[in-house]
Amino acid sequence: MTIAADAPKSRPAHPIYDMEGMEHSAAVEMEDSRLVVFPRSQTRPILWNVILALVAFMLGGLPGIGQALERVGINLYNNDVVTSVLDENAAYYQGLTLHGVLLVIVFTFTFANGFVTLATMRAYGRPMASTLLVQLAFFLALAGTVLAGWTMLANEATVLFTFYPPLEANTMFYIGAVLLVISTWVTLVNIIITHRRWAADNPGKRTPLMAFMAIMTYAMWAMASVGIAAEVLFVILPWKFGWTEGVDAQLARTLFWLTGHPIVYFWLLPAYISWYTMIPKQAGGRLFSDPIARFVFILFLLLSAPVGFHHQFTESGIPQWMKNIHGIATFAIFFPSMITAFSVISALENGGRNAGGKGLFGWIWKLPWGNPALTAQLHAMLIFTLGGASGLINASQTVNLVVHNTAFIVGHFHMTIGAVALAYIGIAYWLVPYLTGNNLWGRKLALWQTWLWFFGMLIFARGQISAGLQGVPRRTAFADSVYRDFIDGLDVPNMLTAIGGSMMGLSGLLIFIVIVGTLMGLAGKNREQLIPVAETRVGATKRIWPWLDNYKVWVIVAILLILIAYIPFIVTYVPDGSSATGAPFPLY
Amino acid sequence: MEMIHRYERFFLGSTVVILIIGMVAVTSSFFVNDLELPSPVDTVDPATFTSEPPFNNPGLFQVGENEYDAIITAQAWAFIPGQITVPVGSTVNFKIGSVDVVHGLIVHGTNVNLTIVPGQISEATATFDEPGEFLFVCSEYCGILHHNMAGRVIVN
Repeated sequence: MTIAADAPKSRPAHPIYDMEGMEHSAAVEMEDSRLVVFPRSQTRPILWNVILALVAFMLGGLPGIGQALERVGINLYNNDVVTSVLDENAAYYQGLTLHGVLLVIVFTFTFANGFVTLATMRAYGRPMASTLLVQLAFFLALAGTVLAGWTMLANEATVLFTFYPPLEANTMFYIGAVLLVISTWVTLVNIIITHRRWAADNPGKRTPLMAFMAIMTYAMWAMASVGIAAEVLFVILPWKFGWTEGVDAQLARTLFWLTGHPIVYFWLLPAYISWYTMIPKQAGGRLFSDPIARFVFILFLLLSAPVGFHHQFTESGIPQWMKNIHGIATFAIFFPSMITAFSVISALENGGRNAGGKGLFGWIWKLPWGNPALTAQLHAMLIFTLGGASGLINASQTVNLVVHNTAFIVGHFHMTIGAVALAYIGIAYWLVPYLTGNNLWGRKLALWQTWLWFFGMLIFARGQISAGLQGVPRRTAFADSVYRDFIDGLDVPNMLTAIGGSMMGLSGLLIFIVIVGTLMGLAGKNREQLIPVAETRVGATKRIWPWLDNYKVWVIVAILLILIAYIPFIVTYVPDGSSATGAPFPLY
Repeated sequence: MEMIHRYERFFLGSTVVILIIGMVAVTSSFFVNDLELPSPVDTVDPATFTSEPPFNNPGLFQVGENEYDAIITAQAWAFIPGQITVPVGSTVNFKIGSVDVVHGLIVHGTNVNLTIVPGQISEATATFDEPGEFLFVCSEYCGILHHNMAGRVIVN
C-alpha cells in the first residue's frame, strides 16, 4: 500500500501514474489532493472481473440473437456450427439457459464485484483491506462460471436460470451457482473490513457516499441471497445426494423468489452508484444532495426483499392476504427509484446549464453526448424508466393475471436488466481504460453501439410486450410450437422482436470490437485516466442526518421486514409430507 | 441551502399520490370486477397423484346448469384432457395439478393464469360467453417440448 504522505497540494506536474518506474498503476487523486496508488495485486483482479463479465456478456448475448430471429421463422438452431456446440434437440432451451445464467448471474456478479470494489477503494482512498479476498472473489466466480458453464454446454443443466425443482440439473450446476454467490459474500466481507479499518483511522468522520452505497448494495444482497442459499443447501442438494426422496417444490420456489427479486436490485444498485456519484461529474454538474442519496440506498436495503411474492401471484400455494403485503411493498420500492430519477436528472440539468444550456430543455443538448461512457448511461436511464413503469403493471395484482408468464414480462425485464447492462457497458468505457492505462479505442463505434442498443432494446421490448398481450407465453420456442398459427396479431410484434434483437446483436459486436481494441492498446496510452467522482451541493456534514450512516441499525430493520413478510408463510405453510421427484424420463 | 428542494418535494409528493391511486385502483378491481388471484385449494401428493381423486379421473364434469369442472392433469408435455367442449354461456372451473414438474396454464380470452406447482391443486374460473376456440398453453418451461404443451376449449 502506497499512500503518499506528503502529497503536493496542487496537481503534480508529472503524469500521476508514472510513479516509481511502474509501467502502469491505477491511482487516484483524492479531494484533499492526496495521491493514492492502488496496488496492481488488487487492480488486476478487478480488471479480470470486468473482462470475465464482458466475456459472459458476449457469450450470453449470442443465444439471444437466435431467440429473436426464431420469432420470424429464421431458425439458427439447426445450423451446423450451432449444433456442434449445443445439443441438437435442446438447442433453444440450452441457449436460453446460457443466456440467462451468463447475463444475469455471471455478467452482473463479476462486474459488480469488480466495479464496486474499485468504488470502495476510491471512496476511502485506500486499497482494500485484504488483497487475498479481492483475488479469492474473482477465482470463486471464475470457478463457479466454469462449473455452471460446463454443465450447461454439456446439456446437463437445461433448466433455465431459475432452475425450479423438480426440474433437475447436474449437481455441479448448483455448486457453480453457489460459488458465484459466495464470491459476492467474500466481496462484502472485504468491504466491511476495509470500512472498519478506515473508521478506526478516521474517528468521527462520515462514511464517504460512494462507500456507503457499496456497503448498502452488498448488505442488501447478502441478506437476500440467504433464500437461494437455503433453497440449494436444504432442498435441492439433499435431494440430489439422495438424502431426501424429492423436493417440496412450493417451498423451493418461495425461497428462490426471496432472492429472485432483490437480485434485480443487486444488478441495479451498482449502476445507481455510478449515476449518483460519477455521472454528475461526467455531465459537468454536481449531485444535489448527498444525504438524500444515502436515504435512497437505505430504502433499497429495506424494501428490496419483502416483495418476492409478486413473482408468485399466480401460485395457489400462497394466500391472497400474504400476496397483498408483498404487492404493497412492491409499489413502495418504486419510490426510491423516483427520488433517483429526480436527483440524477437534476444533476444532469446542472451539468447542461454549466455548459451554457438555456431554457426548459436546452440543457439536454449541451450534455457531452460525444462521450460514450456518458451517452450509454443516459440511454440506460431512459430505457430503465420504461422498464420500471412496466414493472408497476406487473406489480398490480389483478393486471398481473393478464401478463404473468407471458412475453410481456420478457419485454419488461429486458428494459430493466437490459438498461443495467448498457449502464455497465458505459462504465466499462472508462473503467477498462482506467484499469489498463489504455485510451478507449473506437469512440465513434462505441457511440454507434449505444444508440443501436437504445433503439434496438425499445423495438425489441415493444415486440415482446405486444406478443405477450396476445397471449404468447414466455420462455417458449414459439416458431416450433403447435400453436404458432393459432394466435392472431403476431406478425408485427414478431417482426419488431427480430429487428430489435438483431440491432442489439450488432451492438454487442461493436462492444466486442471496442473493448478488444482498447485492451490491445490500439489508441495508445494515457496516464491521466481518472475515476470520475462528483461533488455535491448539499454535502453530508456532521449536522445533516448523521443517523443515516448507522448501517447496522438499518440492516436489523431490513431483517425484521423480511421476517414480517415471510414469517406468515413459513409458519402457516404445511408441507403435506409429499415430495415431488420430477418426470420418469429426461426432460431435456 | 434547504435539504429537499421544493421542486423535489412536489415531485416526490406526486409520486406518492400516484402510487396510492394505483394501489387503490388495483385493490378495488378485486371487488368491482369480481377478480381473484389463485389461492390455496388443496394439496396433492405427487406419489399418489394418478391413483387418487380428483386426478385419477381427469375430464369435464357438469356440476350445475351451466357450470362445469374441468379436472386437468398437467404433465410433460401435455394437458389431459387436451380438449374440452362446452356450450356457450358455460362457466368452467379449471382444477389442475402437475404430476411431474412445474407447469403453467394460460387460457386465452380469459383471466385464467395459473402456475401449477407439484403438490398443489390450482383452481381458476372462467365464463365463456362467445362461441369459438380458445387456446390454452403451458406458460412455464418444463423441458424441450414445452412449446407443444397446449390444448383448447371449444365453445359452441
